[in-house]
Amino acid sequence: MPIESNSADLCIRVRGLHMAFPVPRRGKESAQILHDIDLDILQGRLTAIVGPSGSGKSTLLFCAAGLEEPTGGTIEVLGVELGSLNTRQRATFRSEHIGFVFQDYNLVSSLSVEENIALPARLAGHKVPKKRIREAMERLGIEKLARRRPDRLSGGERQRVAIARVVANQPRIVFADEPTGALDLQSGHVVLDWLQALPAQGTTVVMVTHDPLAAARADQVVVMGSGHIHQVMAGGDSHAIADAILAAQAVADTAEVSA
Amino acid sequence: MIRLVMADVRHQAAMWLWTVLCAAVGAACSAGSVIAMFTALGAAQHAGDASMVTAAIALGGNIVFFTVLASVGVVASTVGLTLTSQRREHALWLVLGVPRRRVRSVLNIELTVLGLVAGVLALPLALLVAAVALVQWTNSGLDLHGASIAFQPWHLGAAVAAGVFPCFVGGWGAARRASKTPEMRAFRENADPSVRTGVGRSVLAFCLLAGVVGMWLPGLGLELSGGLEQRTAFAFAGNLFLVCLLLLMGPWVLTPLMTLWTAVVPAKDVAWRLAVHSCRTRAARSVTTVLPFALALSMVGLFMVIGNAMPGGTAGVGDVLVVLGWVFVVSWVGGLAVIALVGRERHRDSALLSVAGARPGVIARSTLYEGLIYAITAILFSLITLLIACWTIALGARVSPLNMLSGLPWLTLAGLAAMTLATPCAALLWPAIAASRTNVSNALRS
Ligand SMILES: Nc1ncnc2c1ncn2[C@@H]1O[C@H](COP(=O)(O)OP(=O)(O)OP(=O)(O)O)[C@@H](O)[C@H]1O
Ligand SMILES: [Mg+2]
Repeated sequence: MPIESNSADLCIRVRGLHMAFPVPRRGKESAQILHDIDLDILQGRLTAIVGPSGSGKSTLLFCAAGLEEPTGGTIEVLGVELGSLNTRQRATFRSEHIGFVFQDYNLVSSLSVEENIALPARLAGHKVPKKRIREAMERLGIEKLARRRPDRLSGGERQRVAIARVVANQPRIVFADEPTGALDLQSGHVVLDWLQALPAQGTTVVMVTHDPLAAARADQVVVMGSGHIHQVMAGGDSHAIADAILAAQAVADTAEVSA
Repeated sequence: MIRLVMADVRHQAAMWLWTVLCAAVGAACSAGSVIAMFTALGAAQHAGDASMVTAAIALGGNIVFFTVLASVGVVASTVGLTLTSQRREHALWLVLGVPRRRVRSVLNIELTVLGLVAGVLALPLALLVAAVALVQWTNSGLDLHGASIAFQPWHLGAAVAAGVFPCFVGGWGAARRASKTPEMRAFRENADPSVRTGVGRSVLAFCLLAGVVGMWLPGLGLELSGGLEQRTAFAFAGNLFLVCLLLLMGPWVLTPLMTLWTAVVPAKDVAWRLAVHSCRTRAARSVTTVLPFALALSMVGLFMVIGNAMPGGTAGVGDVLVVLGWVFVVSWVGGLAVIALVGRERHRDSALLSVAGARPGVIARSTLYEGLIYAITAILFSLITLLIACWTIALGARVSPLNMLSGLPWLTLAGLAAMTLATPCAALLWPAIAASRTNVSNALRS
């Protein structure tokens, strides 16, 4: 199923991934959210993950970032098997190599915009070049907001701060979970343009989205349905992507009816 | 609406439990010392012992004054913080279409119920407090003619009043604000809303200021017929008013103090920086946490100074404990309660830090450092008030302030400071461990 690739430029390699959550108040019973997922994500590409709500996209993203421990299977990121790292090592790994953009709540509420942007480097114990932070803020047009705290920003501004954080810290991989979900068209385009530009510097971007037009910008589109990978396709055609999502939804619905 | 309130209370059960605990302990200490005083007074009158009557009024009155003051201050600020930290939920009620007046009356009912529950819970504790107090007084040399505590109906009234009153003092402003803040602002603002002085606070502050001036003028400046002793007493009273005034204006005194000293300390460590920012951002929480410790410590300092100044005065730890013991109990429980009220935004921040790659140790340490910042702020505040007290009381008593300083029981004070340092840190140990283990995806989904 994965696109042809040699393992040299493989960034994320998922094999046999299972994820189950315990059902509250039901003792040992658990709900299977991800079923046996195999997925390869290439370095320096923009990959979009699409699919109906509740199909496990965010869960897959959290697992791939080492934020959630899968119940089965292996995940290799940049050649490192996440399961072999302890919590502390995973944290260090994130601070060195991984950046995040969520739909909302991206920023630490007690830190100013500037400090939020500098945070990952600080956590990794690097000296933060002031110039790089300033440049990133200028490029996203938020230099006037440097000293403000996140709760005094609009949703679009907050999202631009999250992007500036990625731009300034230059992580190897960026995970974005519905980064434009709460934005107007114009702000959404700004965010998407940046996410699309990052792979040119060698950054791998993995983006979960509900918007076929956004997904069409990706090099590779992973369509999920009820915990399975339904299809992996090339980007470009938003209609084809929309059709694939609907098909995945239909398969999920029939599976539910027959279950 | 009732269902909404019940769901809300259940959702925030831990928070309300801590608030009830704090209010109950405060009520128990206030009511208990009142009960002890009247019991001692009754026994003395019954025995026809006039000197005992004066002694009971003098000692009991002092204790009642300080204990009631401290518990009203501590409980009120804790209750205020509890309501303030729920302003998002209250804004949601408004959005759902509950009229503003209704929101306010619901909050007032919540406050009444909270106070009543605390008062009733406090009754047995208050009797215990009274019994302990009587034993203490006997041990410190008062002949109480075998007075003992037996339940009387008015004890319940005292306990309930001591429960309800501080809840209203603390919750009134917050309830009013909750029903007046524009919904969207309450929704958006994660940080504490900026405090305004308010009429009640302004009037009280003005009275206290008048008290400071009115006491210090004769105490430091005039020749009084009562001689040095009277001057010293005036100077002491002025200091008392000053401490109350400064703590009443906590947001404008404790916050700048905290900002100032944390700015002076070099901040290389990430965990330390995060803690400093967190304390500064959540200013209302910080003030409420520092207040009890600052109150207890500065009162003790004041007593040590006056004990040192009065010839044959009392400055032993035992004597201070008799007068200020309950202040300590209330303050420590209040401080711990506030620390235990961890807000939702804190969970989210911990989760985000973890996402950004903060090691569990960094998150845990930054939480612990917050306790350290609170404690050091309280200690600095009481050190400042101690120095002012030394200087003014030395002026009143016409002795050299330096002699006064060197005569203080520094070892005891250092011990108290160490205790103050240890308490918030110990209380934050569990939250720190919990924060470092935050389940990221859960925290970000909620
Ligand atoms: N901690 C948890 N405990 C139990 N079930 C969970 C937990 N987290 C997620 N789930 C369940 O896992 C399923 C997949 O969730 P996930 O958030 O990955 O979906 P998603 O594809 O991102 O959906 P959306 O597009 O709406 O964000 C959902 O049915 C959800 O209820
Ligand atoms: Mg999702």
